[in-house]
Amino acid sequence: MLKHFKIDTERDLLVPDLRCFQMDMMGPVNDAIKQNELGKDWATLPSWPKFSADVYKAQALLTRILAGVYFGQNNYNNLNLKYQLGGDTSSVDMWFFSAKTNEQLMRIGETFESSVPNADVIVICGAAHFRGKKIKNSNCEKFVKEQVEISAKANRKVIIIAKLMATRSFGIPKIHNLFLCFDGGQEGTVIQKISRVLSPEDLEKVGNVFSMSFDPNRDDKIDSLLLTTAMNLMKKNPGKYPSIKTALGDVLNSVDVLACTDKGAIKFTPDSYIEKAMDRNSLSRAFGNKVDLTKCSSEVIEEIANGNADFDKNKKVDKAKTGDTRDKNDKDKKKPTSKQKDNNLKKAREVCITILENSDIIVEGTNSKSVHAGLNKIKKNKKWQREIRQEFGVSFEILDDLFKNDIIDQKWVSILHDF
Amino acid sequence: MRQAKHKYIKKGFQHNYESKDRGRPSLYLFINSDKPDECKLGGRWVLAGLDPVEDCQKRIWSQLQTSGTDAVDGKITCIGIWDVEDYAIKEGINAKGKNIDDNVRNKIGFIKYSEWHYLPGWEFKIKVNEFFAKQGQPLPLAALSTSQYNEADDVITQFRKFDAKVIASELCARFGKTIWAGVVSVELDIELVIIASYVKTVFTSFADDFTSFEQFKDYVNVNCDDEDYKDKIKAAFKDGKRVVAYFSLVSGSNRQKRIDFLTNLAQKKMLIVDEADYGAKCKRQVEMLIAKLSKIDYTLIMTGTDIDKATSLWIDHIDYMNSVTYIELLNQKRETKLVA
Repeated sequence: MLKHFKIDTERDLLVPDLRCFQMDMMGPVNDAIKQNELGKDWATLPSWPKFSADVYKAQALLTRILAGVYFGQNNYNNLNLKYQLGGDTSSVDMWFFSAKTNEQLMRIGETFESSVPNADVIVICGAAHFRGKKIKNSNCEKFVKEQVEISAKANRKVIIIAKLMATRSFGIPKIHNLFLCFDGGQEGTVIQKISRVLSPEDLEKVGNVFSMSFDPNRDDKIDSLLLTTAMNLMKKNPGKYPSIKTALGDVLNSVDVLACTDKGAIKFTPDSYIEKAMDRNSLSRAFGNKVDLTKCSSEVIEEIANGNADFDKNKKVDKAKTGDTRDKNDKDKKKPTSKQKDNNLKKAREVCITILENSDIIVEGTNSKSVHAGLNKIKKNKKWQREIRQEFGVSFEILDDLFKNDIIDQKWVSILHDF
Repeated sequence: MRQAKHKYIKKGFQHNYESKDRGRPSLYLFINSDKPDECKLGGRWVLAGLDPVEDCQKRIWSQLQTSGTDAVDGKITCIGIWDVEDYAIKEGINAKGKNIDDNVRNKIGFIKYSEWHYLPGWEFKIKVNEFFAKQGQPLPLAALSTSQYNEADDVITQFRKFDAKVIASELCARFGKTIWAGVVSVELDIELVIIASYVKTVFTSFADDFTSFEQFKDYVNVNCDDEDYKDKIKAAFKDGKRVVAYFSLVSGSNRQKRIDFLTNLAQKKMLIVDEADYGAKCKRQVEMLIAKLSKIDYTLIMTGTDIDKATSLWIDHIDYMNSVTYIELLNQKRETKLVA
């Protein structure tokens, strides 16, 4: 109980509602390939990095997408914004792309200008200018507000195109629709981008986030936000939320997660959502984010970080998932920077995710009923301890500590592997 | 349907003001986004039964005259309203038409012309708040959202009952973390709050909250960039006040001297590191603060996102972590609506 402060529940109502949509881009991709508008390489594993590597080469694809989103053309009902939302009243939309360079982002802006002539397009990056002034992080909010005022008088929509800028201290209350055109992305970065649609305007505001995906089954951009929330709810109120499913049920009552289809937007149920999230390994990543590494010393964290984040089993899945979409030479040239070396915490978390995803071997490999029992058997068997070290890259003692000190919650293993 | 014209005046604050059964004087402060370095302080006699906020919005609209279009364009924001009845009584000017705004204006200064002041609105608001705090004029009571209350309760319990010394908090957009950190400080009875950040705009947000509400009235705000910051802090403690010290983490020749001075003071201290994932996460900043932990009673490391990045160098010192996602706020909103 606080002594000096009271609750005013009206303040709970001030946050704008949020709806998250998954949009499948494969219709425009397939049609563009048929019409020879895209190279043959797009037939396998289309992706946003592939798009942003050379925007001009994939310009026809973006044109098709925009025609679908804003004008409902080419019968892309699953992309038609008005159809999916039941009418679009947003006067400002924001699109985030993973363009490789500012020049590529400017090209994206050009395509928007030619494809959506009834909108004013403003590109936020270091290569862009507004009324002769170079756009910077420090002035972009002011410039966009000016553009919004000018466009409102002319009754025109504003479309903001951004990459890295405008993700902090950028609040335009009139942004109601936000489009995420990138694959993956770190949890923190994705949340920062999503937050741009959450600046309050009035009590009725609903922020719409569209995750634009070439493979919705593998699109995990909003998973971590939902699953982290579910896990927070379980931690804060275990009586009310005994399982991830009950917690996720409440999460999905608070935020609509919908798949855009030709028959309109269809809401995910907790069961269908969990199933999809498990298929794309999102659940283990969300658990990984909650691994309580504050219980470990920095030496132990370093040791975990040196462990194996590429367990064989995962390597195969990853390869099939991502395919060869990047230039191999570029990949080989990359050396870890000092920043990456320092980032033990992140690496340790990745190793913990791998441990979680593969913890079934601790149970099944020892013919046990739980991780706890499995670890007790391994404790008595030197050969198994060596195998553990080989598989996970961390000593048995550390693995044992991770589970027995609840740094990794054993319940997560049960959820992931259905023990 | 078009909205009432005065509704075009945006509200730059979230607290409510009650209507009363008698007329009373109010002050209002508004800004025009086209003129970021100035603001206007005006007075309004709010009649019995009227909502002070709406009444002041009407007054502002009527004052805009030909600049009404600026309000329609969303450029005009009312950033502060003060019920100044107690002060007016004390000054013997508690009546309609007594120009209480000019009385206050002349004492605060920074007058550009007429009712306009040559300070950015948010800075002038802090001056007005500080002026009324000195005069003993009651300020509005800060109230919390359910999530703010619950998280404050949780963190205070960790500090008090479980002897946590360092807590890391990942608090999402719209949570309201600046006022929340102030709540934690007040409840823990902190005499010296050190706000450390690499982002200087953070200080204005804290100063706005720390000067706007009754619960913070005992705190004097001191920017350690001021040459006489030591004198100001010592004078405040001598007067029986508490201090919020704004400490920039940006490298400079005086940075070490400032943190040495602050942490050598005998008062009960709390260090709040805000925007901890931005600049403040670097070795040069973190090591300097960690070296002082033994002299600080409680430390709160706050960030909106990316707690791992923010805390990677603090990891050996963190006793507890709390986190609130935006969807938890929505969950609370839904539950509040259900109860209502």
